[in-house]
Amino acid sequence: MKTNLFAFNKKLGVKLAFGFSSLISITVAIVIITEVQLYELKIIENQIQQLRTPTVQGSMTALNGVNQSLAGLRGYMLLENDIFKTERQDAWSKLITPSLEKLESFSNNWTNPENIKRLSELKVLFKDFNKFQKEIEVITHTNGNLAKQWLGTKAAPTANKIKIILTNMIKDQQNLANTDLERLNENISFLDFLLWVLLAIGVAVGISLTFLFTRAIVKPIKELTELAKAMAEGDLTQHIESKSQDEIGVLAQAMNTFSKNIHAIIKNLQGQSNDIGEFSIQLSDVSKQLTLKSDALNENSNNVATATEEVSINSNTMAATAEEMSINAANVSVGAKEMADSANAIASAAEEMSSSVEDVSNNARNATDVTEKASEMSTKATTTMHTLGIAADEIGKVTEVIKRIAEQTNLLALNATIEAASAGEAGKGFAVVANEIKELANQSAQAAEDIANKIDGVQANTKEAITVIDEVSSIIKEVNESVSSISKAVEQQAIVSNEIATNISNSQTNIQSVTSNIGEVAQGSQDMAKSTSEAAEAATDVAQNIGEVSSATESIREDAQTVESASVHLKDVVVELSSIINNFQTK
Amino acid sequence: MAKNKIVVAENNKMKQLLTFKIAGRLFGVDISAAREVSPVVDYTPVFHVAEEIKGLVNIRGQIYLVLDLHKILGYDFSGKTEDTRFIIFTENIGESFGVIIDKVGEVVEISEKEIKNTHAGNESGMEDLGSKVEALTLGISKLENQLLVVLNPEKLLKNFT
Repeated sequence: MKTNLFAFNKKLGVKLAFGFSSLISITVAIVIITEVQLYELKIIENQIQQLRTPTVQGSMTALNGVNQSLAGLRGYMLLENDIFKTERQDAWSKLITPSLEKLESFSNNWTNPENIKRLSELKVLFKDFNKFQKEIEVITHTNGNLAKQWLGTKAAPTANKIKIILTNMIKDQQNLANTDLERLNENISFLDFLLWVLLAIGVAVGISLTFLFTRAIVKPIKELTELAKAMAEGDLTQHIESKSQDEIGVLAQAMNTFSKNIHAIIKNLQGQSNDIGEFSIQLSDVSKQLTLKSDALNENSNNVATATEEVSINSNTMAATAEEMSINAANVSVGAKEMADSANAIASAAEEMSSSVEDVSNNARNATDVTEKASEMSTKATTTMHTLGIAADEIGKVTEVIKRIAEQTNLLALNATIEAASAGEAGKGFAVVANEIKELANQSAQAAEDIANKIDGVQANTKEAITVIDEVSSIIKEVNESVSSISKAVEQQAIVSNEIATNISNSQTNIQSVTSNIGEVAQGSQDMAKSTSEAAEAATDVAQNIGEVSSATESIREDAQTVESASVHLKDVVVELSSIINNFQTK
Repeated sequence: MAKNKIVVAENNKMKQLLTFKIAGRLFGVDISAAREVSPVVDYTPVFHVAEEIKGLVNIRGQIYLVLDLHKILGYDFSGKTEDTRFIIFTENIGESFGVIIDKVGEVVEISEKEIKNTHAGNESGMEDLGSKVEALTLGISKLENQLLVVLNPEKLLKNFT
């Protein structure tokens, strides 16, 4: 959201003003802060230069004065020379008094209240010190011992007190000066730190502003440049996505609109040139076709001319032919009469045929009756044969029974023989009888076997007879079918021969009408001969007209060729135009 | 056998033989040894006895033992036909027994001389019948167009029951 402030909603001038004013305000802030700090430094320096140092100097001078005055006093006491007296007075006048005055004047600016107290103590002590020195100076030549005593008890201790106070003052001042220096150093390092921080802020703001400006101004301008280049190269498909409200955004939108408009114009132009191209091709085709058609027309008209000449010749031939036809028609008339005679002969023959066909029909009907009877008879024969077969089967069964009885009889005879044998000599007659029975049984078995064989023969013959009868029956059926188809065919023939008879009588009447019609044909063909000669004349006129048509089509053909070459030229122009337009890229 | 010899001797060398066929070969027994030729051949098999015994048959209320003569003679019984018969022997030969045969033949009467004893030396060049069969055989006789092996039925029951 912050970027909107720079990128979208504000004008370009506002953005620049905002950026530069923020930089200027940072610079101003740096200068003000530096000035304030420097002023404070100056104050501290002044304090050190004008207060601390002179106070220390004054105190030192006063201290020197004390020492010098004491030295002068001692010298006067020992040597009673006035040089020392003046030396002491000089120490007072040149060193002690001016330094006290100086300290007095500095005390207005003093910050340490202890020093002010010390100064007032000093004043009192110095007064006493001066009074003692003067008293000692006065008595030293009269009463030297007292003077020495006073020097030791009065002047020296006061001088010591003064020295101690002054030394303390100097120490205090030096301490104050040291604290001032520390403050100075603190301020300098703070200033140093502050200046670095501000520099860092300034650099950060500068970099971010550069980035934002690049983003807000340079990038859109680059995009615009790309668009402009693309447009210069003819690519009209590009456009810029810009929501920015600033001058560049407006410019981008204007460029988009410009590109769009040109795009539409070029597209329109393209379509139109394509249309023109197609039109020119169509025109070319049409004119070609026109040329071809006029050629064809010319050829056709030539053909028509030759055709009409042929027509003329042909119609003459036709006239001659019609006359020949007239003669031939007369011949036909004679032929038709002969044909009528022949038709009469055919009619009588057809009637004869009709009667003989009827005879055939009757005979066929009789044949059908006979074959039906034969069919019935063969069916009866088949039934009889079947009955015969069944009877033979029954006889076969009876012979089987006879055979079985014969076998049993045989066994009985055998057992009888065994019985007879067991009876010994007495059974011999019985054995003969048994043997006879056995013989008879064997004979009857043999006879039964013969009958069975014969019956088998009868069965086989019966079967053969049945198949033969079946064959006969089927043959009779075929005969029956043939006869019925014959009778059908004969009936149709009868109908046909009747139709022939009626047709012949019709044709007789037709022949008569043909004869009369042919007379009319002869008359018609004579008329036709006349008409065709007239047609020949008309054809000659047509041939002349066609010649005129031919020359007219020749001139049309020339015009069509002119149009064709013009349309070819037009096509070339359109192709050139199209290639120029195609240099612009459009979707 | 001894009795048969006596009978043969009394009949002055002529002998009546009941002939029958087993596996296509002709065999015969003395007609006095036979009691009856029966058409009843449907016997009831018995198991866990000698394999030469086929079973039992009931003829008119009398039960007879059925011996397998095919097996005894070394042939296979090829099954019943309408010619198959059951020969029952007399009580002199053995108690209530008979044999199944393939077909019964004629009763032939031949001279005892024509029966050649096979025990006296096998000079006929006929097929070797084996020792068991040999024991059953009385001799071999030439008929008009075939050979007839004459069996001794007394040996049947003694050897196989």
